[in-house]
Amino acid sequence: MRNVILASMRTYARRYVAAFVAVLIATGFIVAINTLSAAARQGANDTVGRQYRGADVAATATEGVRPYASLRQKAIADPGVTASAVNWRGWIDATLPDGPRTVSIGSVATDRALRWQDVSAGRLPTARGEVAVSASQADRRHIRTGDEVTLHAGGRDLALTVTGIVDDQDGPLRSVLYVPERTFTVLGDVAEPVDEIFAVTGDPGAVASRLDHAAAGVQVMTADTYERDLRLQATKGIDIFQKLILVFAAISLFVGALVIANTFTILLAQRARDLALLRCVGAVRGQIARSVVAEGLVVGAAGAAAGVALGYVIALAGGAAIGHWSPSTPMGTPTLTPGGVLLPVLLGMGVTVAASWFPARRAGSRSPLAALQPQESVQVRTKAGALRIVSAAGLISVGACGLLVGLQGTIVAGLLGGMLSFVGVLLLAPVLVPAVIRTARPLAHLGGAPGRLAHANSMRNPRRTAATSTALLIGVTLITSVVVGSASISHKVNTSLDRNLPVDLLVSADKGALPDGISKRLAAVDGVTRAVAVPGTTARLGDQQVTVLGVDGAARATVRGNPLRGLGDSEIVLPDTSGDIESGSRVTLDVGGQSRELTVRHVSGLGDDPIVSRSLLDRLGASTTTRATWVRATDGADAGDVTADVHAITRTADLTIAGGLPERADILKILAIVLAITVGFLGIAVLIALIGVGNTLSLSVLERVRENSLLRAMGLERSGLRAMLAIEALLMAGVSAVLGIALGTLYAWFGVKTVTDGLFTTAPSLTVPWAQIAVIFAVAAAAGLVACVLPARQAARIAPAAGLVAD
Amino acid sequence: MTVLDPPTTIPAIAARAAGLTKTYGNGEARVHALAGVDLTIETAKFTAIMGPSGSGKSTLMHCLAGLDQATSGEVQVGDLMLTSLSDNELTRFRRRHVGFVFQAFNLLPMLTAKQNILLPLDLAGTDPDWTWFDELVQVLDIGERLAHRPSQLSGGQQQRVAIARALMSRPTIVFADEPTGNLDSHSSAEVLGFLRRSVRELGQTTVMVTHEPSAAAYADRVVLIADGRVATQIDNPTQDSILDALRRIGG
Repeated sequence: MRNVILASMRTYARRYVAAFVAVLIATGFIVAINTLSAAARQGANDTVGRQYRGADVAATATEGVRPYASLRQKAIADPGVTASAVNWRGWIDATLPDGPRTVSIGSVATDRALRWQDVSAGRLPTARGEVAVSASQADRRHIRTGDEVTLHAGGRDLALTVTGIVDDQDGPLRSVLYVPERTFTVLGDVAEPVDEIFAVTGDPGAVASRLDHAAAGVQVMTADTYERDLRLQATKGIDIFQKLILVFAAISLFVGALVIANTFTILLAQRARDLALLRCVGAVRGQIARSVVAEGLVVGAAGAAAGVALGYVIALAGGAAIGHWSPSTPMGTPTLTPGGVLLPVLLGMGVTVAASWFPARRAGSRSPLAALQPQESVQVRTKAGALRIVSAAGLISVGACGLLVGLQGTIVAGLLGGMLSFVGVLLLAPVLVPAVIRTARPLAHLGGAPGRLAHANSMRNPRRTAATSTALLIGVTLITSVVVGSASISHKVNTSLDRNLPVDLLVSADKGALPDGISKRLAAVDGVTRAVAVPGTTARLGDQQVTVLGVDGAARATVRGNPLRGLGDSEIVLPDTSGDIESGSRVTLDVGGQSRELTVRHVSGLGDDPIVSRSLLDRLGASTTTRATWVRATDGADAGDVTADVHAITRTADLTIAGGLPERADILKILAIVLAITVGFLGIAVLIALIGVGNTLSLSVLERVRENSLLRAMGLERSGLRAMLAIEALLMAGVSAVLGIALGTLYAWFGVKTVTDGLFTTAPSLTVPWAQIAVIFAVAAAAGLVACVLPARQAARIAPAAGLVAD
Repeated sequence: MTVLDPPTTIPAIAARAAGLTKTYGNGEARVHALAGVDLTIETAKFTAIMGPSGSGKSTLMHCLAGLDQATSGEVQVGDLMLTSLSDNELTRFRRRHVGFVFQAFNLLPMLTAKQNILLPLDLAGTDPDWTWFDELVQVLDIGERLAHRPSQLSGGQQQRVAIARALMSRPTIVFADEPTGNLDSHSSAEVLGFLRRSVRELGQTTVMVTHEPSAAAYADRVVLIADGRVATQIDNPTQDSILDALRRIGG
């Protein structure tokens, strides 16, 4: 039997390509992710060690600065301690040579033994007026030793001279600026001590336990123990990320399994007569089934081995790319471990064998008489059997339960439920797909005789039609659920951002009016769409003196989500933090001796000052000055740059900035990254699915050489035959697309509800991006059409006479 | 019409069918392919089964060879009753006791001629008898072509390889289904000659289904089938005697 397996694999090597590629991509994916994450973990581990290389004992306080100071007192008294240092880290407003920025700041230990920074130019700062800059920032902002950097902290400016450039050393203490430890005493609360480290003589454990007993509110341990904790923290993020991507790898593997099962069904259908002849000359059922599974094993092993190689190459390339684009990210060398190779290989082989099992069983049970008769007459007609429908129903109901449980926020249950119910739907495909195709009858009949033939053909063998549609159905469902899901989530995020952070930047003076022309200067900033001066006046609200602002149409145009819509002259807007005054209650506003009774409306994110309409202020005859400027940034503008530029203008006039721009930009950036990653990784699964489409379509052509020749003999033109096959492909692709879009939208709904459980106060509703859905539909139809081009050409080229006698 | 001898008294019987019926379909669409066939196949004889299209001759052969199960009646090959065997038992029976030569598609396209010849033994997991292999290869004159794939062989050569495969396991009986159906007259004569030699020189019991009187004339006995029954049998046939008999059952 081994001869037969090897010979058939050699002969039909090309037909295994789809299964091979499916295994290759899926395992390559897994290997690449695992290898890269291992490298990242190794990199993260190494960096932690390097930042604490001088330390023997470390201490962290649960809160506050005070414990560190008292601990230091005690440590100096301890005979075993030779040096001590507090590691500081924080964020600070600074004016670099190229402009103002908010940057991270860290400390340089006073004691030489505990310094971890390496300088690439100059020397480390030791005096109050000195600072070092990280190499990457120095490079980007063209900072050299001798340049001046000004820190703004606690209302004071501190001018420092750059003494050195520090190599980027990733880890928890990495910063842009480094100043001596003692500088932090004058910086106020911009930075917090991270931990305190000690160099000791003798046993670090003994010193650690002595100090731990001596100081209250501080945990003292050996540096080894501390580093282990830090390593866990540093790699936790990588672990989570790895698990997240492995979910996509699982989806790819799942799609791969379906493609493999399809490939084997096709392969065995093509070889039906070979197998029947084997049965004639004495192969028992088990031998046939085993030989097919063995072929699966070989394909799986080869695909997985190639996948490991591919994954490793991708990991190397990825590591190199990260090293090139983001040199400061710590990366170890991507290396393959025996486990890292074995697991994906076993997985790939296991999936292939499992996927080939059912086709193998079917092949084994074919009658040996099939070898002796023309193909058509021996097609064992299995309708969608009761077993199939029952198991489909079972899977769908179990899956539905999983999805419902998932709605409570259990993502794993939702994911499993989604997969199970999807397998159930796929099992139902031989019933579902023809049923939907039946309804497309009038559409197909527009295509004339070829159209009618195509429609009849696609209805004739439900199993085959379903097999062809399945791959595309998977792809369309996945992509649709991601597109609809992401559209829903970003819509929800945007509306809730609009509600909570309606104005990008609010510039106001602590007291009195803004300087003239500030709005014009702000409007000129790159990335600012509008900057509108908002007039206001001093008034009394109840018994409080307040600044009341008057907004007009121009000011309203800077506000996102339009919370000031229809602001009437009898209304006043208060921040929704003013809890003591209820929304809808009446308050009295007193302006220049005239008082008005106004209804309260709560809006968040518009600053602390009460707001009325401009026309009301005018009617009250108030004399107004510019009390605020509302800035709206261009969508997609770099929030950091805009904020820094606005800062630079307002600092000179001593104004305050508030507003949601930085937060909004952060959230939208994260959302965009998550979406890009999701779509990118799902793309791999869809790619595997598309390989399956071409594969299955070519089967339907191969299977029907005889009847196609008969049609040709009876007068169907070559173009007619091609049209028939094209319409058939379009019908199947279109139906898969429609079903996939419907299913995908449903799964998106469950997915959005599950993932966002507890994230928003009100659950997001479903947003269907119709334009993108239309693109998905068009791409699916085009994919079906492209996949049929080659088989159709092949079918049309066969001379009718040759086809009729073909076996 | 048929002489049915008890198998115990005459050991020279290779296969036997008694009251064999085979029906397809149900109700109105019911077709009787075999309507009660009684037949004995003698050991070391070349038997030809003839009959018009649809007479049931192929179905008879399938039932005798264990490829198909009869609706009723008995089939015995050697000392084995086929009627009661399971699919796996039938398969093993074919492997051990039956050799096949078909009209076309005899050989697996991905295997070489040699691999095809050894395939049944390979499937059974038994070691080939190389002396027997060499003898067959020599008698059938395929020594030059052993390393070739079927697509590289002529029709006649393919059938000779198929005969070698059929004989390789020294089966109780060889069934040939229209073995010359796809061949020109020269190759036909060659293949039929080999089949007859294998009976005469190697003592191989052979049953051939054919509708060509010229082919049937190579046999020791011709069994004529019509409408699912044995119509007549002719010993030591000539082409003329066969044509006469055919004319009689046709008219």
